[in-house]
Amino acid sequence: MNEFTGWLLDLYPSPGHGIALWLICEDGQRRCLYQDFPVTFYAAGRSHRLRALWAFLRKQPFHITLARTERRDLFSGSTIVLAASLDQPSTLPSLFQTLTRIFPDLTFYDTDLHIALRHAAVYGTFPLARCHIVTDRQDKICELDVLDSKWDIDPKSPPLRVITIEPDTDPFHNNPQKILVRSQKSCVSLDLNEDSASLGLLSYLLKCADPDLIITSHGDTWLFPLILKLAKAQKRSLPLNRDPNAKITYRKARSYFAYNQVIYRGQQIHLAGRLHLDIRNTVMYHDYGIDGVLEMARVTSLPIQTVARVSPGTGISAMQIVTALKQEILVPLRKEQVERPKTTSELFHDDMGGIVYDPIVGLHEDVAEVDFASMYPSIMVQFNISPETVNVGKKTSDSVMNLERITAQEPQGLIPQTLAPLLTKRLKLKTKLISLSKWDCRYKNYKANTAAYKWLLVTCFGYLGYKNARFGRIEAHEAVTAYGREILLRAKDVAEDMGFRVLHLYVDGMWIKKAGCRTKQDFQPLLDKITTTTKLFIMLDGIYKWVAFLPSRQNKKIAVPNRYFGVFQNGDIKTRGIETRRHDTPIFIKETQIKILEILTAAPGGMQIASLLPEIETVVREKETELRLGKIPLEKLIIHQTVSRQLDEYRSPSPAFVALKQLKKVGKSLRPGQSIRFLYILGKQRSRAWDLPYTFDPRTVDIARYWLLLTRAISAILDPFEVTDEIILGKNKQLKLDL
Amino acid sequence: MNELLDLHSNQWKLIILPRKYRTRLLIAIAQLAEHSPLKVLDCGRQYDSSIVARAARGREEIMDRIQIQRAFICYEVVKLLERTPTGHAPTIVLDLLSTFYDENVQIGMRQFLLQSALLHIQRLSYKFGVFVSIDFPPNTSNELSLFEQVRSAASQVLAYETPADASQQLRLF
Repeated sequence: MNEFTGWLLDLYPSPGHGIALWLICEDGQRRCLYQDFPVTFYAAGRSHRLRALWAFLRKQPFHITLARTERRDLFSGSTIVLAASLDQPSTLPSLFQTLTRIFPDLTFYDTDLHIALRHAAVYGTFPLARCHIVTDRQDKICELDVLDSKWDIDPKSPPLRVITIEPDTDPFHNNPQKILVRSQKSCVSLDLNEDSASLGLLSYLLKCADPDLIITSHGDTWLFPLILKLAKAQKRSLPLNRDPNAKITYRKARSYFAYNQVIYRGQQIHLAGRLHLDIRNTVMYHDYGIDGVLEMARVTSLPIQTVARVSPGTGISAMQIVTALKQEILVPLRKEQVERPKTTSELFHDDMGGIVYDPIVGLHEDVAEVDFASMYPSIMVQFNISPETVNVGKKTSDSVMNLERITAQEPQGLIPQTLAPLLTKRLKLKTKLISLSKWDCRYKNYKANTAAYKWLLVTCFGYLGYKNARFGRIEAHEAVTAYGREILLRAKDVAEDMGFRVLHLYVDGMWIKKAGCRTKQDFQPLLDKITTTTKLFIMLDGIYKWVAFLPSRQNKKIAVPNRYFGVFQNGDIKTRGIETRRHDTPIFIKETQIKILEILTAAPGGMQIASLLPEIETVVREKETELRLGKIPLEKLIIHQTVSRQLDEYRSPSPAFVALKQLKKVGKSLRPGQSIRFLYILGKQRSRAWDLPYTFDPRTVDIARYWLLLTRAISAILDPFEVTDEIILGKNKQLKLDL
Repeated sequence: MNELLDLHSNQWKLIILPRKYRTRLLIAIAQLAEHSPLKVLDCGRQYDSSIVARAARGREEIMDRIQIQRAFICYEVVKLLERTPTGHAPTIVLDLLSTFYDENVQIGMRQFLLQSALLHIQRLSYKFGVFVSIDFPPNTSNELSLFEQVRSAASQVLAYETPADASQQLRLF
C-alpha cells in the first residue's frame, strides 16, 4: 500500500485501466495513478425497443452489466429505464454513437457526460482538488478522499510548473521565423528554419522542465500542428504528452450561433498528463487570466483544458449535471419539454424580457447608480425558480405579484441548488475585495475569481431558455424576467416615494438623484428599504460627479438606453455604448476618446468645463496633425470586425467583404465567427485586409474617413457639454457626416 | 393570403415563403382568428405576438382565440406535434424546417425526426386540415433533401414567386 497527498491535475479514461489520474504530489513528484471507475448510462422508451437494445448490448465484445431500474427524470418524474454499466469508460463514446444510429427512437440519459463530471459526482473531486489517495502496488487507487472544498476562499495552491511558447509574429499575418520558449528558469529562442536542431532543443526543454502547464500563443491552430508534423517527418518523439501511453486529443474547429452572434472556435489540442492552454483560442482568458481559468475549473469540475475553451454557459451546464448526478436525476442529452399552450395575449405578457426606461438625455450631476447584485441568479435562488418548479400548482403571475416563492415545494429546485453556493462565494469575495488594498497579493486572484463567477452567473439565466440547455425551460426563463420586472418597478416606486428622481432604469439597475444627496450615507436608507421591500440585495455601484446620457446619433430627440459616460466621485470613468466600448473601433480613436474623457474628469461640475477646453482642443489638433502626417502607427488604425457569414453569402460589398475577398485571393480564408482586420484606404476597393502578404503603401490610408470617425467619437463625448464644432474641427471647417 | 389559409379536412397545405414575408402570414392568421379558433405551432421563432396583436387591433377575444406553442430544436418539434391532439381547431405550423437545418444533429437523425413530424402533421390534418409554412432551403444537399421530404409529403404545395424585375423604363431622350 502507498499513500499520497497532492493536487489533482488531470483525469481521463485510460483503456484497460479504467481512468488515469495525475497527481502533483506534495513531495514534488508527478504521479499517474489508475482507478476502476465503471460508468452507467440509461435508456427509456417502448418495451419492445428496450428489449431489442438489451439484446444488442449483450452481444457486445466488452463486459456490460444490464439491469431494469427506476430513476427520476427531472420533468416527467419516476421513469422505468434500462441501465447499462461499462467497466471501461473509454468504450462509451463509440458505443453511444452506434446506439443513436440503431435506436434513434429511444431516449438516452447519462451518455455523453465528461468523465470528470461523473468522478466529481461520486468522489467530490474537481481540478486542483487536494486529495489523499491510497493505492496498491500496481498504482491502482483503493481509497480517495478530497481534503478541500471548491467553495474555499483561499485554497492551498499547487506548485504548478509552467512554460510558455509563442511565435515571434502572428502566423496569420506573417510567417514566423522563431518561437520563444520561456520557463521559470530560462528563455530560449528557437529558429524555425533549423527544423531538426530546434525540435531537438524543444524536446530537451520539455524533458528538463517537465511542465504541468504549457501556455501557448496560436498553439492549437498553428504551433502544435506544425511541430507535430515536423516531428513526424523527422521520426522524432516530442514529449508534449506527459502520459506516453495516451494519445494527443484533437477537436475540430467549428462556428456556431450563440448569444446573438456567430462564434468561432479554432481547432483544439488537448494533452494527457499535462495541460495545454492556447491563449488565442480561449473564451474568457482576456477577462480573467489563468487565475480565473483555474477557478472556473474548480467550481465547474470541468478539466482545465476544456473549461478554458468553452463558454461560461457550458460551465454552468456542467455544474447542473454534477448536481443532478449526485441526486441520481437522469441527465438527458437535450431537453425535449414542450412549451405549455398559451393564448396570444398570454404570450404577449409573458415573453417580455427585462424592463428598460429610457434615460433622460443630457448631463446630470450627483447621480447614484444602484443595482441588484446578480439579480437574475438571486431571483432563481430566492424564489426557487427551476425547470421542475414552474407550473406546479400556483400561477406564476400570482407568485410574482406577491413576490412569493414560485412553489412551496421543498427542497430547492436543481438550478437554485446549483447556484446558491456560487452566489454566496461571489458575495464573500466581493466583500473581501472591498476591504483589500489593490497591492495585496490576493487582490488579483480575488478579482479574477469574481470575474469568473460573474460570467457563470450571467449565463445561468440565459441557459434556462437556451435551446440546447439540458435543464432549460422557457417558462422558467420567462418567470425570472417577470420577477425581475416586478422587483425593479417596486424599487423605482420606493425611490420615488422617498423623493428621488429616477433618470434611467435598465433591467437590474437604476440611476437616481435627489437634491442634497451626495454621499453613500445619503443613499443607504433607500437601499435598505428596497432590500426589505423586494427581498433582494441592492448595492450602490457608485456616485457620479456627473453622468451624460446620450441620444441616438440619427435623432437627437430619441434617448438610447445604456449609452452613457460619467465620472465617479473617486475619479473612475465609466462608459457604455460609445466608441471606447466597441470592438470595431480603431485603437487610435479609442485612445483619443479616453484621453479627452480623462481631461473631463477634472471638471468640478457637469457644465463647468470652460477651463478645460484649451487642453481638449490641443489634444484634438495634435491627433489631427498626427493623422494627416501619417504618424499614427498603422496597427492603431486597424478595424476589427467579426465575420458573420460565408463569403458567398454577403449581399453588399461591405469593407469586411472586400477584405475577405482579398484574403481569399492569396489563399487565406476566414470562417464565420473569426475576426477580420482591415484598414480604410483610398480608391475603388475602400478597404484593405491587414493580413495580406504584400507591402502596403501607407500613403493610401483614407485619412478623411478616419478623421470622420475620430470627430464622431469626440462629438459623442463633447455634445452633452454643448461644445461648439470649432473646438472639434478647428476654425473654418465643417463636419461632413455622410460617408 | 387568407384564401391560401383556407383549409380542408384530411389534407395539409404547404406554403414555401421567404421569412421576410412572415408579417403578412401573421396578419392573415389574426384575420382568420376573427372567425374561428386556431392552433399555431411555431417551429422557427416566427410568431411575433405584437404583430398579431396589432393586426387584431388589440381585441383580446381574437388574440385569445389563437393558441400558440413554440419549439426551439427539432426534437421538440416532434414532441410538440406528437402531443398536439387532433382537437377542435385548424393547425398552422410556422417555419417547420428551421430547426431541422441544425448541423449539430446528424442528418440521419434529422431525417428520422422529420419523418415522424410529417406523420403527425398527417394525423392532425384528419379533422380540420393543417397549414405548414417553410422557407426556401439553403443550397446544401442535406437541406435540400429535407426540403424535398416535406414537399413530397404535402397534399398541396404553394410556392411564393419573387416578382420579376420590372423591365427597364425607356429613356425619354
